[in-house]
Amino acid sequence: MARTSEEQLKRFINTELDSITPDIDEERRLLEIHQKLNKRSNFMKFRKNKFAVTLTAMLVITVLGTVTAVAAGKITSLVSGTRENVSTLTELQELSKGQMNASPKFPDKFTNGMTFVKGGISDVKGMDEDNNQVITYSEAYADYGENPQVVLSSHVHQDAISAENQPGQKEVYQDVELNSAEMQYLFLPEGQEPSEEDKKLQEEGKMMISYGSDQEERKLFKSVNWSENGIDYLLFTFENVELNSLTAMAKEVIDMK
Amino acid sequence: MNEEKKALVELMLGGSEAAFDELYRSSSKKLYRMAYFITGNRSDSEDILQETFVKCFLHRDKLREPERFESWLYQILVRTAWRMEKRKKSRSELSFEGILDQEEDHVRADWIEEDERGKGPLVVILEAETAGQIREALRKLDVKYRTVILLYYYNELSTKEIARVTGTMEGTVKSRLFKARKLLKGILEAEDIMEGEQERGICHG
Repeated sequence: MARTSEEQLKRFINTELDSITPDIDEERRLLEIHQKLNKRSNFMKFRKNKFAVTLTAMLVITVLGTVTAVAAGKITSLVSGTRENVSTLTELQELSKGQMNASPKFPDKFTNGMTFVKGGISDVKGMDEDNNQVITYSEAYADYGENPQVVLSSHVHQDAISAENQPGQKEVYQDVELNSAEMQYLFLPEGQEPSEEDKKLQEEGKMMISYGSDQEERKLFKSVNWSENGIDYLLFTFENVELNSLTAMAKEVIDMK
Repeated sequence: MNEEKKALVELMLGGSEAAFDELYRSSSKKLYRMAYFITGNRSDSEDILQETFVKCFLHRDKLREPERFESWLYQILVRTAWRMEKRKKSRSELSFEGILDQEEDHVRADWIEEDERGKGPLVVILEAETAGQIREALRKLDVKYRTVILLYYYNELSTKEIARVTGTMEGTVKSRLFKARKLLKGILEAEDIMEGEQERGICHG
């Protein structure tokens, strides 16, 4: 009898569960999972390595495209994953040459004392609103200073990512146009609603809200970007580095031959 | 785990999204049902399922042995479901729509239809009533007891594996299983007796 009831119980549970079918279409849910993954993977990498290149990609979108939202293509988000990390500049230069078919400039040391710590190459994917991959390219990045304080990233110019109408201050140096900008970042746990004030700031393009953090965090993102010889550069920080110091560092990179 | 699945898991661990998609497609229905058994709520089950796969890909570097993929996935799902239940409990939103209520008529109809092929109508009715009692008993069980029942009977895991999935001692699993089984089997055994008596009655009648 005990055996019978054991089998009945198993049969009951299986019959009950097998009769249940999800309401949501499997593929639609998969799409939502990927969208969530894109959003979360950006933040995860940021948590692991404050200035990971993934964040660079996200920020390029934000800073370059706050107004136009990457107008040229229909890219709505950039997702990147680090492919390879290196600890010397020579290795980084070799990797860039081999994988980007380009030789972006990375100084060993800036005059303010910040030195190269490590770098890497990542694959960046540009996705449209339906989460389809529109473009893919490689990006090289280098960390400078402790934590690190500043990150310099570069990639071969992508027409699909427009840099028009970007907010910030413009300055021409050695025939190169530099654009410097500041942006408030608000990191919120998944599901937490931003305040009305923060929502308004986001609508006005003055704040970027990112979801997936463990707790609410506010950070000021400062950046300088420019384009030189077909390569787009972005120098950025979340740390206590003034925007004019960042601009001075950018000029040092431009001065490099 | 077969070789094909193992290869997919290895590809996923290496970062392949295509392999991840395939793994999702092959296991999402089962995981949804598991989430539903634990929570008794469709909307929560959707959230749990989604979160399970998001965590699976984001934390894939934590899975050292590809062969353990399924129980690792169960582990993520169970803990995500428990966390959600705990949050709901703290908000006093106890919900167990049940595998029943909205499903009850449908499930009972299936149950009867299946049984009609091999059994007499009286037995079918008795079993349908038993099913209702089991549902009721499951509904009243604490979520941790329900989970043990699920993993043991539906996923066919050993008590040792259940302990690993739920992050509890094997002794705790055995104790929960014993108590839950006792309750549920008590219902079934009582019905068995009735069933036996009816059958004898029919024979001799």
